[in-house]
Amino acid sequence: MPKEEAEEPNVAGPEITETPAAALERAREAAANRDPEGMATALYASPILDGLVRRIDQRYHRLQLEDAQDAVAEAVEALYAAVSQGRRIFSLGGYLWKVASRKAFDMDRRARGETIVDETKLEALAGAAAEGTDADIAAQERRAEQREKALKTARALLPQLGQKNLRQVMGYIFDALEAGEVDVPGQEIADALGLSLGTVHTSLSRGFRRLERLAREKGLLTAEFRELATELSETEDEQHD
Amino acid sequence: MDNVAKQSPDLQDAFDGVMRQAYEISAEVGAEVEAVLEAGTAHPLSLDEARALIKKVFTIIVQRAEERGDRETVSALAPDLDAAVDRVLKSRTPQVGPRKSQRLELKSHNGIDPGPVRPTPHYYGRAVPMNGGFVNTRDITLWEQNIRLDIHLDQFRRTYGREPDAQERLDIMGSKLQLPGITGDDEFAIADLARSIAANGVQRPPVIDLDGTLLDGNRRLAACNYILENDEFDATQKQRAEHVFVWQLSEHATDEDRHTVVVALNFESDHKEPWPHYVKARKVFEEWQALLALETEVPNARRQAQMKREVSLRFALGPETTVVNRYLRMVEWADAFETYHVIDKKRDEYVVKHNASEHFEYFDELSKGARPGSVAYTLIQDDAYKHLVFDLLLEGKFKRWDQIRKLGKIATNADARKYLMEARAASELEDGQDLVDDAITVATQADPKKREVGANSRIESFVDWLEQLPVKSFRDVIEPENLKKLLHALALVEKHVKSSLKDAGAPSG
Repeated sequence: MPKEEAEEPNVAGPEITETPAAALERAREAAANRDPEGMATALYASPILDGLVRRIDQRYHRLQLEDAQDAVAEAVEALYAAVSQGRRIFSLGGYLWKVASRKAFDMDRRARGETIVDETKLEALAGAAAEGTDADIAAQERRAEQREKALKTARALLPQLGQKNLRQVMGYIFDALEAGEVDVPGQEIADALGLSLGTVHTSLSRGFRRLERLAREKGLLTAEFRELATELSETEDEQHD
Repeated sequence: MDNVAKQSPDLQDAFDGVMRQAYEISAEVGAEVEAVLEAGTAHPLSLDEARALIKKVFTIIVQRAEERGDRETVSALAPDLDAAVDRVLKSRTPQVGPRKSQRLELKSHNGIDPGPVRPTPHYYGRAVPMNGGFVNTRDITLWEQNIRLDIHLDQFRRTYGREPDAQERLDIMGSKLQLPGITGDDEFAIADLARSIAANGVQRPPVIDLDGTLLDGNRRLAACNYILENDEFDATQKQRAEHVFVWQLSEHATDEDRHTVVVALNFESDHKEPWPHYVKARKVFEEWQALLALETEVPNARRQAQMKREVSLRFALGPETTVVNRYLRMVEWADAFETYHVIDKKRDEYVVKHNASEHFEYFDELSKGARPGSVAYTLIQDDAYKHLVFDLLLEGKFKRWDQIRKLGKIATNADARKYLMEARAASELEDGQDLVDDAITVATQADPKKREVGANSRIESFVDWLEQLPVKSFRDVIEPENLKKLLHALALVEKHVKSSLKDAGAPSG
């Protein structure tokens, strides 16, 4: 029995002539060739831009639709800047989602009157240079210096993680952090290190836990992190007994 | 490393930031990206919205390109931004004119016309308007994202290198299409359901989407097709199965409506074949991972508890987080089990997955205990022992899940552990199971708390009773199975008894 056809109002709905994955790859290629119009055309051929705006709008009720569009536009620009400058992005969809949702989150916090604490994160994520007074710039430089020191400290703990897989996977994450990567999917790590996705996930889960334990022993964690680590440990004990 | 960092709050803050960023960048967002694509397909931007967005994109790109001195990008867009925006918008085809959609229309049958379902169905306090009417059974398509079939569909894709078509999905549900690792003849109990439907009709309307995709009632549909294709059923029964009364979502239904319907009708028991725990737990785990990915900083314990409550409510698991926590632990252990067998032992992925599904309740027991001596603690500390347990589990040598509780005691008892290793090596399943029983017996015997109480009086009573038992009872009264058990038990303890008597300087008979 043939299915009935229904008339619907005119919307800019995409006719599926290629898969979203193919469209995203086309976008990547265009950005790598410094063709922003080509990139935008490819992204628009897939439902990714529509979906990003809709999901952000749905999730952050305080924001207007315009704000959701701003967040998505920033994410697309960040993607273009990263790819056109030769940065390696494993998953364009994941990258766009992380940057856009982070931007929207910050807008939401501003709307609630909260301040954004860690500007180095914004810089790392969006590549946007912060401007301000000399004091601001000095503070930023100090934070950048401390961050470099913290990364070195974290790396120094890696040999104590034990299993080789854990060391390799966590090392990869820190490499990515240093390179300013925004999104490092498990599959990327699995492909790079020749591990299964399951092993990567397990290694990440264990790696973070052990790293936190080591950091706690060495007094590296803030009070908030110590509280989190202690509460999690106590909760787990209660549940397992 | 010394504790210099304690005196440096700046370094602590910076380390905190590094850890949080590490979590953030490594968070998997695959499921969220899928949801984004679905949302974009279901609710595309209007032309005005798209224009505003693309214009913003180009404006920011030009601005940032100027800041970093990227002349090539600036000159690619700057001359006429609006024209570039127009070209992008026109690139989406087709745009003008009505969009045709595939809609499965409800029809009349046996004097019953289609119409709104009254009262409006409610799921978790949410009204989901639907229309009721008849459709041809063969026009309904199995739900592609049916979690019940997740492993099977993945296995099919891997085996045949393509998606199964509608008939093949039905064949999988009807256990006609054999895939490695599936042990049951009728895994989804379709034949029994078909006989019930043949006799009584479909009692509860399946729920379908606008395009005819099933959201609830995959087994009922598979059963109707089973009736149509089997000679076991007569013409009248086949005729009854040709049309089915369904509830169909309205054109105003949202993704949240679909999710609510699926969860309400599949997560709660309603005397139907529910999703196995393995499937439910995986779904809960995925939802948890998706929520974690959205957190822009590491959630503290209170926030995690709140998130888990949200997950629990979302899946109708109650206001407490007990079930969610349990499911998360079980999935982690199932993953460890699968990783070991697939990666280390190079076993077939889907055989292992089916096995994990079959033994999923065992992972609950495996995950318990954070203190020394408990099962989970012991397995985490001792990889070799953990792998031994995983091997025994895969081979089906644990007869019951409660045997898992004894693994903590067995680990610290060399004799008991030896029995487990022999169990793994046993080629016959029953022999292996018996050896596991022996391991438990030995370990339990060694448990001073459990076994010491009343030991002397028990033995005195038993020996008195045994010595006074008429000999012919062994032949006429006691069942052979019990005789075997008695002999087995005596042989097991003989060695220990003789050793104890020797130590005590007493004759051993």
